[in-house]
Amino acid sequence: MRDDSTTADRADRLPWRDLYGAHAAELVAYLWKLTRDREVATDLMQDTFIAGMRDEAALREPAKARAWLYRIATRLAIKRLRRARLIAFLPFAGTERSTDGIPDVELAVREAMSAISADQAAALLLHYAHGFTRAEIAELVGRSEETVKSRIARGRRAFLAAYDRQGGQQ
Amino acid sequence: MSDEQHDDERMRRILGRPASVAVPPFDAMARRSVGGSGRRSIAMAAATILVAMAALFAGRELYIFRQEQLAPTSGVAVPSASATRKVTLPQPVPQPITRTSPAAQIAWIGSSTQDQAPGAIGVDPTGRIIARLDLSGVRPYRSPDGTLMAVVANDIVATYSALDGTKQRTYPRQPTGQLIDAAFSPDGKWIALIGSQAFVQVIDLRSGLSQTTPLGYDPKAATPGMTGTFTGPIWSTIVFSPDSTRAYTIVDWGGPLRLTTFSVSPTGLVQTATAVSGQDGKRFPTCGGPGLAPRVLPNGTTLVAYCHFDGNLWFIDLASLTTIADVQTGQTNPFELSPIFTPDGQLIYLRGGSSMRVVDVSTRALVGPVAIPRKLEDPGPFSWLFTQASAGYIASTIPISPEGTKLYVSGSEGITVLRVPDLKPIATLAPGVSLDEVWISGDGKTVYATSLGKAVYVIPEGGGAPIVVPLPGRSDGYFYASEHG
Repeated sequence: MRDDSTTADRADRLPWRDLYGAHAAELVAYLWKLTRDREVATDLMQDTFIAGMRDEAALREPAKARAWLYRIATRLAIKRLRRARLIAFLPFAGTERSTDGIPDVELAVREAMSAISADQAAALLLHYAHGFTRAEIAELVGRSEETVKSRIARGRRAFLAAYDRQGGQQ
Repeated sequence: MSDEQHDDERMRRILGRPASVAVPPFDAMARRSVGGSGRRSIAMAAATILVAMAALFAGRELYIFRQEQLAPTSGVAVPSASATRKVTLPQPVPQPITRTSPAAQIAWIGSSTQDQAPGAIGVDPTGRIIARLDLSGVRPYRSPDGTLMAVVANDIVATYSALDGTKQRTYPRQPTGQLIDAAFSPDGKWIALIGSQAFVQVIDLRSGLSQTTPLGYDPKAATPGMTGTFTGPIWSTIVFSPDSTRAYTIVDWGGPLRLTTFSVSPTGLVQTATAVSGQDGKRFPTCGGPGLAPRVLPNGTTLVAYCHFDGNLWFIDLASLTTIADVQTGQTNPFELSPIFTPDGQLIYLRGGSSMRVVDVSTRALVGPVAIPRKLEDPGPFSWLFTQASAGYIASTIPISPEGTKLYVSGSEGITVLRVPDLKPIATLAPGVSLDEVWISGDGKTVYATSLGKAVYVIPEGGGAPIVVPLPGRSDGYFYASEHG
């Protein structure tokens, strides 16, 4: 069992405050679209950094910190999504708007995301919203590039079909 | 531009739209990291105290149990841990097994394989995969008799044979829109839907007749924890009476709870009564988060609802629409659990991790928690409550046999079969195999269990070698069951 000092001590070995400043917001946005829940996304983002701080020895190349954080975030989110499906929450029926004037995740996007698998959703978001190449995603999720290509192609098809059914913005 | 390039461009446009969330400061996150460990330390200390208290409690119960074994009483009322209070639990009334059709023996398992859309895989008692249903953008429900899978989309309801996955019929949704909740009537004749447009729709599955009526809700719901404006009744629940002639809706969360009664017949869907907490002297509990599991008890006069947020059980009298009781069960982590209603309507079991509580419906007495026993030589932890052992209905985590006398608890060492009501372990199925979710066939003869989302174990209920069915890709590892199993 880890104690408190372990986390605090390790937090000084990498520029965690800078990493947080650079990547926290984009990770929340990624996790929000992936999980379709703002609170969960914020929690998972923090869990991502906490997990990273505790296991920073696993990061061999500090230059790859961003991809590494996305890797942790993806793993945590998919685990959470799979678990959440067991609970079968009742759906969100409203249109949520943020208070700062920036639109929240569009309802049609959330609905379309729910129509594809978590693995596909992660691949689509990483590729189309966060600029990772197929090869980078393959390394990030520990799958072959062919698998990632397939996930993106199938996921894109299913996503757009569901998105159009929902009458999403074109 | 090729189709693929066009789709790529659309995807970048759709997914690249900004989604802004306030990010907590770094120091808050770091404190959370440290605080989490602190909380764990506190939790460990609390757990140690609880274990010590449980040991003391168990010692006393064991003493009482032994005393009872030495001098058995003729009745079922025996002293509980309290010297001043008597607790009794009723023996189960075995129910007839009615789901005997071949279709009701097919297990339907949730599946969202790596490169496929969400779906459900049908597996028969011989271990054969008989079909896969595409569940993209729809929500599935299984009929009470187990013969149909109904999938609800925003514009239609489609039914499929649970025997072979063939499409049976489609019914239009009126009005269209996002589904909030759906329920089959116990006789399988109707399916009732609540949509985001705040309407109740009831469809006669045989004739296709559809009836709709508006559903009242509070337009000023506070929606705690969420920001912005909402339309429709947010989270709502619908449930039928046991005789399938009435339907009840609960609109809750963010506004005063509203309970509405509808009469359902071929000639009309008619609202007959409604009660709103805080109006006309009515007071109802409220569930501080989304998700209620309701059940009208077999007597037809009492609605029991389990709040997945705080684990409380509500008892509501349906004749007067008044609250009878709000039992605070002390259930921890209730989000992952389902209440287990015995089919005779007498008991409600609540699982919490490795422990179990039980509520006696007639007295609303809460007993437990007790550790779930796993070894065949263990006594039933509730055995001091009755002279001999003998439970019913749903729960994704601990299903009950169709006649209501056995519970099936999965774990890393197989499935432990527990006797109702005392939870005495009476058998172990697939010993040594780590299993997750369990489903019992309609006739009770076949037990299905998933293992790490990779395989389904098909196990003869009476014992015997399991058939291992590898699942294509990676399954979600849960079953689509009707509310009756």
